[in-house]
Amino acid sequence: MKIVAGVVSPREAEYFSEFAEELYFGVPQVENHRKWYANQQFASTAEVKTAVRAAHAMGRRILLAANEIYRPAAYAGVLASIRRLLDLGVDGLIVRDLFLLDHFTSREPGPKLVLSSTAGCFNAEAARFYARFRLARIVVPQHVLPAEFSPVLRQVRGPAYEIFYFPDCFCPNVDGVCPLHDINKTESPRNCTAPHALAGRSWRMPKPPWAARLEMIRDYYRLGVRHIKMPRDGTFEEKRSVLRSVLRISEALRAGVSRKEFLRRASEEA
Amino acid sequence: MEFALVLNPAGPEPEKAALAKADLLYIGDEFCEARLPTAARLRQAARRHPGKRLALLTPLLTQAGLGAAEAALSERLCEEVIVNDIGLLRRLAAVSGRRPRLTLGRVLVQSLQHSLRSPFFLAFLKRTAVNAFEADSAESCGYLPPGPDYRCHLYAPYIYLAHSRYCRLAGGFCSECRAACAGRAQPLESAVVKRMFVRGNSYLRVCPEETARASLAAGPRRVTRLVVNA
Repeated sequence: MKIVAGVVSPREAEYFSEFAEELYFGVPQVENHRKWYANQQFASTAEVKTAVRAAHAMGRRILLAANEIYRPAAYAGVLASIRRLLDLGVDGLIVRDLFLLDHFTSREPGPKLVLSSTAGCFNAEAARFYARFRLARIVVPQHVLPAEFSPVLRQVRGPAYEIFYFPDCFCPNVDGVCPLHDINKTESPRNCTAPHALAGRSWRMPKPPWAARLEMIRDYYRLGVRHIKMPRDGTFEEKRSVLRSVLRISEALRAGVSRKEFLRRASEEA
Repeated sequence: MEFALVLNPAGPEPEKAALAKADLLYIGDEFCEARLPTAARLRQAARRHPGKRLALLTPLLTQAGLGAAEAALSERLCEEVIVNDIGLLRRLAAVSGRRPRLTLGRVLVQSLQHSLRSPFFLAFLKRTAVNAFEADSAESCGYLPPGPDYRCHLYAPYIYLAHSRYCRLAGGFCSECRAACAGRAQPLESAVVKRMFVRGNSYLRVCPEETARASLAAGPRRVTRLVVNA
């Protein structure tokens, strides 16, 4: 699998450039899907510059996560911020906003465009709607199964496709429409993983078990998906552990092992 | 102001008075494609409610769900489709000639948010003659293009918060499930969201009809329909 690694500092950019094909990051001046987490944004333009240099030195691309939707009144400011980052050498954008998609397709073409999973592209017609924007890749939403998505992979062949490393990143609710992460506006809202009470019992919003999420990766790989995204979340050490897992499953996928053997290898301690 | 009623085959029978008052009946589901009606079920609804106008309510759709929605529309029993998937919108908007009226549903409004007012999307709306949206809160109404050219349908009493395709009742992704899962909304006690409810695979907040009307009556949007999803 080709790894797309989320990074939050030049140090991480330098480290993950050795293993990843592409990096991505966020900055506070361009709202992104981790906007309430200051520790998941680059702290300064100087940091962006260093990270870009580190990625390019290894021949890697580095993209900006601009994957929220912006008010029309903010368009000029968002564009100005993005242009400044592109001038520093940032190679492209992860995006869902129709204004940005249209702008960077028809007015200022050039940056590589990746459609965020939050755009909710669940079927081939949706993929065709977005493919007009000269997309390099579409990130597959977490809540669509490989078998359900296979017609999209067959029918819309322009963009490449990317999945999350699901064991580490799987929202309980359809991402892109769920506002729960926005409600408390704090660095650690955990609104969708917090325990609630249903009929007097402690209850959590369900999501697929770990093994099922791993199997989804194998099934997507067998359908031809080759990009896998490591999220920005977690400490450097935690991300290194995730990287080891991703490298291990990539090796198992390349080897074409059985489902059982894939799960066994993937379950080994990182 | 029109009055529409969401028919929930798994829920309690609507009150006769509400049914009599309804100008339009919504059949289908905003959150689960397994609950899309078949053409046969739509025929049955048309027979059961003679004289009532029908609208097909559709969710975010997989490729199979897209086919199921189109099959449901094949007999032209629905004069309107509430669209919550950008792919279905693209497909139906491209139909030349007679087609059902298209309304952007709450999930699609929540998905596109401010993009609804982007020049690109306003041009799309104009080109495809789509001019109605569904909303349920001051926040979601704020996403809609303002002005007399656009109509807003307002939901009460339940405001959409989130939904999952990993169904808590089926214990998995369940595109084939036809279980009667979406009965009454159950309260979900939460430290995060006050007055939250869960129904089927959706999470809702409550906003009484009176509150919804009062908060939006003075707004700049043209509210032309109240949709009751009790």
